[in-house]
Amino acid sequence: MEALLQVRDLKKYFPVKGKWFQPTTHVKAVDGVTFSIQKGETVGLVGESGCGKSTTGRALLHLLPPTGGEVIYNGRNLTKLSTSELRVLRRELQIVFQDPYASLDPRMKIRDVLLEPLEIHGIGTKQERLKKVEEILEIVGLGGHYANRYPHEFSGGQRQRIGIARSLILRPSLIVADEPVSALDVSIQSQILNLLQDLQEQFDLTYLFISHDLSVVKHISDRVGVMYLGRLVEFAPKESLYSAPAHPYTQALLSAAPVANPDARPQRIILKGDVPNPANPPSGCAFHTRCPHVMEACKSVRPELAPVDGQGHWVACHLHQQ
Amino acid sequence: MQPILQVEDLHISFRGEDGDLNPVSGIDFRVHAGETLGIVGESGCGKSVTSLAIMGLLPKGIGRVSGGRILFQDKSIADMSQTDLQKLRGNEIAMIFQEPMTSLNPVYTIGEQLGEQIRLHLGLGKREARERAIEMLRMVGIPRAEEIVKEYPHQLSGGMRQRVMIAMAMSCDPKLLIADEPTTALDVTIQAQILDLMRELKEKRGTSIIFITHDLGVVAEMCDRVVVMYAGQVIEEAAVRELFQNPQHPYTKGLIASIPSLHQQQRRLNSIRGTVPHPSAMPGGCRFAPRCDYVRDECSRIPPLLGVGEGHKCRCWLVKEGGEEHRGSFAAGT
Repeated sequence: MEALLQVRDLKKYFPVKGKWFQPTTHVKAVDGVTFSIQKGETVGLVGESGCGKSTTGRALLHLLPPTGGEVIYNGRNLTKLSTSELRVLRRELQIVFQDPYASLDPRMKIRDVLLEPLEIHGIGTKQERLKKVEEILEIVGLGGHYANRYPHEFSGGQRQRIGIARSLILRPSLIVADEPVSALDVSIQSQILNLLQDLQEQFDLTYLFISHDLSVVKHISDRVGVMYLGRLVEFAPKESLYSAPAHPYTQALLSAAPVANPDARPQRIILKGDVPNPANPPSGCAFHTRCPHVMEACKSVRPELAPVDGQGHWVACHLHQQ
Repeated sequence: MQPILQVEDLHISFRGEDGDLNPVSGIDFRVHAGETLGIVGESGCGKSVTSLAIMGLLPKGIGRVSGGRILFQDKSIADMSQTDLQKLRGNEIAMIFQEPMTSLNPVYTIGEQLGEQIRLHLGLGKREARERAIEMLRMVGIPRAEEIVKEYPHQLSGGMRQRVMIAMAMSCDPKLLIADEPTTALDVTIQAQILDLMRELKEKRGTSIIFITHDLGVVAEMCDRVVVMYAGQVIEEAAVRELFQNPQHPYTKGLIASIPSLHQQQRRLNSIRGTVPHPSAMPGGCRFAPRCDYVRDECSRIPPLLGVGEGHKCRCWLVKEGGEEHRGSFAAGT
């Protein structure tokens, strides 16, 4: 299988102005992330708030200019493209945002929301565009008669369908879905997850699915990456990640998730303390301050992502490196 | 066992632009001493409004209890004077909210806020209140408690702030703690810490807890008994194990089936079609009928909440009193 998207050593630093006479420091939101996405698959990115998963999604689409690293899409290096070349390519790379309330302009009718991307990319005649809008509304399960309404007339789930329609209308090949169901109620969440899966089959889509919810990521992904403080700590096919997590952080994360079964009292690994400040991450392995298996080496040497087995399970942890 | 809180046929109405809305229309439940009762439901089902009504905190002039009553230790909350209510809140019933940042005052230190409450309710002096505040912070697992009392809310992380809220709520040893989505804004590893802490406090002090949440995983872990709400009504009530193993209402079944599982792989998720009705446009009969796969003629009338088994109640025409009759054909559909 060929990789549709390759992310190599992606970095995104945000400057933090120092106080008087103090130098500017950087928050390393994404600090050297490497992975690839095959055509037609879904890669999930999980982690807690501030781990850099959303920034990774945005930096790889160049919605935020990366500080370093390369993003190669279909053999083309996005980092080397000019703004206008990038704009043309954006047809194929789309994003769905978390908050369907904030990501739709309240003064635009749904028709105009959906026409806008077609107009920007100069697709079709006016007639054809309007037809496309009706089509896409049917596809996401809303019905063409909704085109005349404003965003406030819709519920959260319906708005997320509009968000999906907007990213889908240009017939992209890759969609970055950034916490697309986190703001929704459980019964609506499952509707949207099913829709995303149906669309993937119908349009041969590739997804990068970003979420903090481990069970949602497990449901939808083929391979999953776990992030902690700007770095990938584990990346594996979902079966092996969920059945045999190798990194102590992944293990803790999985054991912490509440299970909807009163008889399953999982052995819980409760981590001490909070996630450290990303502006001043711990030396060595960033997880060493909370890790139950911390060793001397962890405090000074940063572990690199290395294979655990021959089956594509990678982990960045000294416990697994000889 | 004598319940410490009884909610009987509670109706709440809010004044709206186009007439009154009734986010809660006729709910009943009880909380026993030392028990954790879960109230589950999706946004807009009336679970948070109910908790505000118990605390006597409905927004003045807009929201009011329009029917039924709330009894705390056999005394009606509606009949209490403002001073009695104020004594009740904090001393006997305490509450923690979803977003700890908005419930803490940003311009006072943690020590001042915790201390104020301790002085007011326990009548301690300034220095003793401070000592007690530090002790409470230690109890909820806050490191460097002596320094934290001098810090402001923004200097703490979300998990730490929620610990402070819990310390505040527990500082007067309340008999009932109402926790309204206390871990929803937190990351899973922090959520695990907070749930652990709440469980420990409950065991140590025998506090009753009303745990309001939309997360069925959290319910399964924390609660003894569960009330499921939908569109302002209780639609099912059962002991936690019974609810998960033998749910009766189509909505409860749908909810449980729509959670993606960490342990099994389903190809497609079960989903409930449609959306929650708006309070201004409630269906006349069963409120879940427009989304229900088993809808039939009877559903145009409101079904009663019937006992279907030991401590198990359900509001659905498909389930007959005693519970056995329709179970076979009904369960086959899911």
